[in-house]
Amino acid sequence: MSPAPGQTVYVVDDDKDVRESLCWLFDSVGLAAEAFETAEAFLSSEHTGLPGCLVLDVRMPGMGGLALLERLAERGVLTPVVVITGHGDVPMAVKALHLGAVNFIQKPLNHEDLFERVRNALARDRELRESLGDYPGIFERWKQLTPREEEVLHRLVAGQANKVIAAELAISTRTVETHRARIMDKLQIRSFASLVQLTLLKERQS
Amino acid sequence: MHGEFRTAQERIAPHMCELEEQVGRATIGPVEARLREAQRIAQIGDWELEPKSHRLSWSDEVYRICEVDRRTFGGTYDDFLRIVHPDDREDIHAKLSTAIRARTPLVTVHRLLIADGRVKFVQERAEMLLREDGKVRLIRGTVQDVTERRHVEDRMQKNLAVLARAGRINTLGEMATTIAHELNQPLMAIGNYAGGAIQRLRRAKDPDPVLLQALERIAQITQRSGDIISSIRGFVGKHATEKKRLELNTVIRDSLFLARPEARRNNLVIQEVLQDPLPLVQGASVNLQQVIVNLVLNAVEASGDTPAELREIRVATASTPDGQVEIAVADHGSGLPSEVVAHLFQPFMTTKVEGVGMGLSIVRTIVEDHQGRIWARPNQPRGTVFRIRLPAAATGQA
Repeated sequence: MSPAPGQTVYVVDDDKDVRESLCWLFDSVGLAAEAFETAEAFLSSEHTGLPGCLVLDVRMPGMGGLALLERLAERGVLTPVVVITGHGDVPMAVKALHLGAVNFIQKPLNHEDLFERVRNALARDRELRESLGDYPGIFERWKQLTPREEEVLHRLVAGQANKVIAAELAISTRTVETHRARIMDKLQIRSFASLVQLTLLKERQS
Repeated sequence: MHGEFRTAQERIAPHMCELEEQVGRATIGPVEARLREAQRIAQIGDWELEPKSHRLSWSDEVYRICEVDRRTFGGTYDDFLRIVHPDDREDIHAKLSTAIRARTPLVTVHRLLIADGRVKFVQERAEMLLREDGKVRLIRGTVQDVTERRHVEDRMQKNLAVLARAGRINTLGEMATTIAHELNQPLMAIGNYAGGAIQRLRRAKDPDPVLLQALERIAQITQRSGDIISSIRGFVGKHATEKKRLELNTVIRDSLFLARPEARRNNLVIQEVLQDPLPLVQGASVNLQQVIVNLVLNAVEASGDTPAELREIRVATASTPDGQVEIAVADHGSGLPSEVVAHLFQPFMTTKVEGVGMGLSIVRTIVEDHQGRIWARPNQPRGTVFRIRLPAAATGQA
């Protein structure tokens, strides 16, 4: 499971020793890594939204790890995040998961576990990009959906059959299918599974 | 003429006597009655002791305080000593003897052992009345039942002790947590470098096994150190006090009771502006008291050079529209320099010469432990306002 070319592990930590040592550690197993001192520095860099994953400490001065996750979600950046938590930070870890962090790992770090979580995060990033195209733009495109299309999308994701949707919205099954095709077209999504995944992510973040 | 006058005088004498008695009854009677009543209300009795004969005379209230029957009381100093608590007899006797010898007033508190085994605290105040030759003729004194006051004092003393202990535990806990967090970071970096070195060495063509083993030991020991720190932080976390539904105004009144003497010593008035009723909050009263006492004492310290017309600290409570309870502690003190405000609640931050800088850090820890938040803003025309918002307790929850 080697990372796809172009993927980077972005380490955000206010402690210089910690972020530099983490980069050195990731580098030792062939994972390209880049360090940022603060959440603000990462957000204002050109790296936001590029292929890769984030590794950050949930407790940071200034904008904390959770605030960074919120800010990324607002921008529609779905970069998977591995959150490092201290002992007893369970409520924060849970909140981080709700904000879209894919995983968290407790201090003291077990390196094998850390590598596994980071590789999973990178794999997740790759899948998202493959199925969504240039996904940071997807939330921009989302705005093109009409209210009726959003209504249909919501019901599709909720698992309603085309027939049911047609009956409840008093339209033909054919029209439901047309809506569905147009939604996929507008969002430039290739698979219905990705559409469901993305919609759920978006709902969780808003 | 002379004889006639004598006869008249003799005839008048009994009437005069009667008149005197009547006047006495009319004036002294009511005065005595009022005195008795005053003594009963004040729970102060008066007594006289003749040092030579050891005769003791008590007012009604003394009998009531000592719970002794006038008809069975022997009326001597020794009879009195018998109802004094055995542990206090020697002491009271010594103090009285000293006072007689030195002809000085006596003020002392001792215990009484009541017939049914109860213990009362009484305060004695006595003065020595002297003869012309300077010897003590009579000792006149008062006795007051101070049992109730004593209990209140004991209770407050105990509260203070609990508060001080909680403060110490919190300070220690906070320091341990801070140190643990600070140590965790470099420790993690050491582990990361060791781990990275191991990975690199394993990939090398001909890794030195001894070197690899040493690096693996470093990684293991770092891990172990991290575990120890985690367990310290876990241990500290367990000291959180149990939370109950409570009335914040009561917590504040108790806290001000503790903080007021310090304010008074500094010529400061504490104004309570408490909204009543106030929604209940879920909290640990000892910890919340610590928060209030801390903020008020900080306000007192900040008000050192406050002009006379502004020497006031205002403590207010109010409910907010979104169902929270707000506490405000406002002073007209020296205010906070802007470079301090940003780090106000961080550990080891202090503007005081002798401060450790843990007070506000602990205050914030406690407030956050109550799902609340705290912030500070400048007050008008000068000084600082600290505001705390705590969520109201859910209704119907035990």
